[in-house]
Amino acid sequence: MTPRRLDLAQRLNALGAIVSALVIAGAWYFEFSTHEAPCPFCLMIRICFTGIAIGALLNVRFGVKVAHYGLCLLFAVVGMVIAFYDVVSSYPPLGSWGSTPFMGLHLPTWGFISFAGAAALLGLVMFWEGQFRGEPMATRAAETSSLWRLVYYVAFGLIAVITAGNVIIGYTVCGASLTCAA
Amino acid sequence: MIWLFLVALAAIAVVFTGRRRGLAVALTLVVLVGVFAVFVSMQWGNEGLGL
Repeated sequence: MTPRRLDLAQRLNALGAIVSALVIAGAWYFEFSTHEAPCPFCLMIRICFTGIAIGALLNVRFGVKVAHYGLCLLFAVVGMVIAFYDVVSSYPPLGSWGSTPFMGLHLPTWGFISFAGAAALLGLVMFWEGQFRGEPMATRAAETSSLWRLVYYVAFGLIAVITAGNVIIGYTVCGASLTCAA
Repeated sequence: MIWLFLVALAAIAVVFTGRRRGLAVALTLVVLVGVFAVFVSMQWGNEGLGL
């Protein structure tokens, strides 16, 4: 099931997927430590982080392609729009969110900053044209070591478990509603 | 909204199998369009920001 060889760009994408999953795990930590259910916007922000991770995993599994980075970028842009709306429509934040800020900012604000950072990083990564050159991965990459095989499985496992957990959390917040509208 | 997470989960599973890239990309696009559609549908008619 593991690709026999992962080149440098694929390895970095695997790490990126893990980072994206850990961001959602961080939101879980705040949710469970403060006993607060996430707002519908917060769930949508989590979906956008999941989408960025899926785009990175597409690069890992099927080879690095511009289209996969494009998907990541689109999720980052949609996430920025949702997070920005969440921040400005909930002003003043303490009245509606009530949670303890992290380093002076609330989670939707951190979400906006993270999406903006991800979009900027994706733009920079696209300058690395060598990753898109067409020769087969097998001729460019060393045999995948056990460490990177572990990273590969951790990336898939982590985002799958977190997404499954978000199904349960989403059901407790929105039920089976299509849009989570009241 | 859980359907979005379920479709995302299906996309992750398809990517993991490594067999159908087109299906994986299509499922991911469904999530992308879906989350934006849900956002727009929830805010339709709310032109103000309520500040």
